Amino acid sequence: MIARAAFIALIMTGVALAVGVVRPEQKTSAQAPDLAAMLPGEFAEWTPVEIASVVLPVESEIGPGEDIAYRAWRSSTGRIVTLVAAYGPPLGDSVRLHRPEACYRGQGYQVSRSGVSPIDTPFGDVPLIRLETEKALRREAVSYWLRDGNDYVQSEAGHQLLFFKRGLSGDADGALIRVSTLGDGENAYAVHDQFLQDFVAALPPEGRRLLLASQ
Amino acid sequence: MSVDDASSLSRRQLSHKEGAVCVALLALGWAALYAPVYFEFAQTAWRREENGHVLFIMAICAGAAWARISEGRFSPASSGELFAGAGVMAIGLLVYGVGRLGEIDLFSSASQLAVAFGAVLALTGWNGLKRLWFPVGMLAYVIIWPGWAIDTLTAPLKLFVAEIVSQSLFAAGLPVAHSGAVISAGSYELLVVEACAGLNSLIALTAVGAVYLYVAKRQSFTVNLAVLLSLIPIAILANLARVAILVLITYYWGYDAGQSFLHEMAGLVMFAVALAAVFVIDALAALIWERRS
Repeated sequence: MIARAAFIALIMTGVALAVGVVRPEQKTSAQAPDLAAMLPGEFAEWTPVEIASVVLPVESEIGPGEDIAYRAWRSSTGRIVTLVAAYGPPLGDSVRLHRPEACYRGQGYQVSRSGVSPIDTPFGDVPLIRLETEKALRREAVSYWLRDGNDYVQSEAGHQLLFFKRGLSGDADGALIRVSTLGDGENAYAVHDQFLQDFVAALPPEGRRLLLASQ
Repeated sequence: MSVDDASSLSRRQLSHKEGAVCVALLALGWAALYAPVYFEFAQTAWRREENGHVLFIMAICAGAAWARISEGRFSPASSGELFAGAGVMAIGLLVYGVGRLGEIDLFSSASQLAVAFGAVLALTGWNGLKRLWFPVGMLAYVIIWPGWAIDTLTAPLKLFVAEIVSQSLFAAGLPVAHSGAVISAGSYELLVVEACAGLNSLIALTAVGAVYLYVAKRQSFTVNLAVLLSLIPIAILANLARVAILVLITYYWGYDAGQSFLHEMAGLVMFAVALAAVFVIDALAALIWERRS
């Protein structure tokens, strides 16, 4: 009987040790980055403007190592684009990095998803998820990308897979970039694409490292 | 202690000393497996509000298991039970490995259920498991559910709470309406946050209810079932009442009053009322079904 218990304890310890050996070293959560300092001021045809209103997560409590920043720009033709950037560290709950769907729904918007389309940047293709949101008379077109570890998230199921994969590689931080414009429809997405291409080109190297998946 | 029957070794009961050594060995193995997990959870998962109950439940499990084990009278498992237990444990350890390597808190935490079940079965058989079902079963409460699962559950629950509360207050003649998770009461706007969805009170009330049933030791299966089934609607109603009370406090006494100590008070009072309702239902059910049995 004692031999049995000893055997069971031995197996438990063995499994624990095996896992400890195979498991990749976890990076402890580092200092939170200062995202606001990394967002470019004036670039291409975009001039910063006072932010009018921005839909934020209903509970925007910022955890250790996390950061969130927002800013708005106006194009030479007068379109205003509002941008929200968020970063979550390894070991943080970066998966919950405020998904825009949840933010907008929480604030009473109707949200519908209208597909994924990639933009082409000097630092690789970035798949953008498109949303159309509506609350009373206010409509906003939204595009965002979500980096989880070294990949971009394109669907909920894909996200679960990534969650598993990045655990094996030990690479677990994440970032979100969301842009929105008032009004609806196709030409808003063209504005988003143009804006984000200019934005990526204007990012300092440190900002690119945090916000984009590395090649 | 009964007299050992020398002819059937498997029927013999364990001595206290043997039992203590087994428990100590298992505790060591458990610590090797789960101490690193607990250490990590203490910095991440357990800090989240929705997992606030986990440490209490672990204490209850340990206490209940200890109380049973110190009663003694456990006999060794048969070889069939040993194999079944080893199989369940192997599954548990596999889930553990996947959870640890893939950093899936759901798997690492849920594996405890299978490992404990398997270890008890392999050592003391179905009889031992029957006596330890409560601490083993309560481990279901220490499972860490992933954020997306909590969100998918609480997001519609939040809207449901906002809708029911605003509609009933509106029906009562107050100027209350909602848009999404935002309730407007008179000139105030209140946000129905995650905590208002009532998941925490649901978990707490069902856990306390289970402990109560375990301690009360009702003989009748029907009584136990009636109380168990009543826990969920009671928790939901209590939460709706809590949110409605908060809206009323804000409406009549202002925003600051609604966020003051009254906020916590409303939660505590409604939890007490809900518990009282559970006891009343338990007493009624016992009155109806237990006399006949």
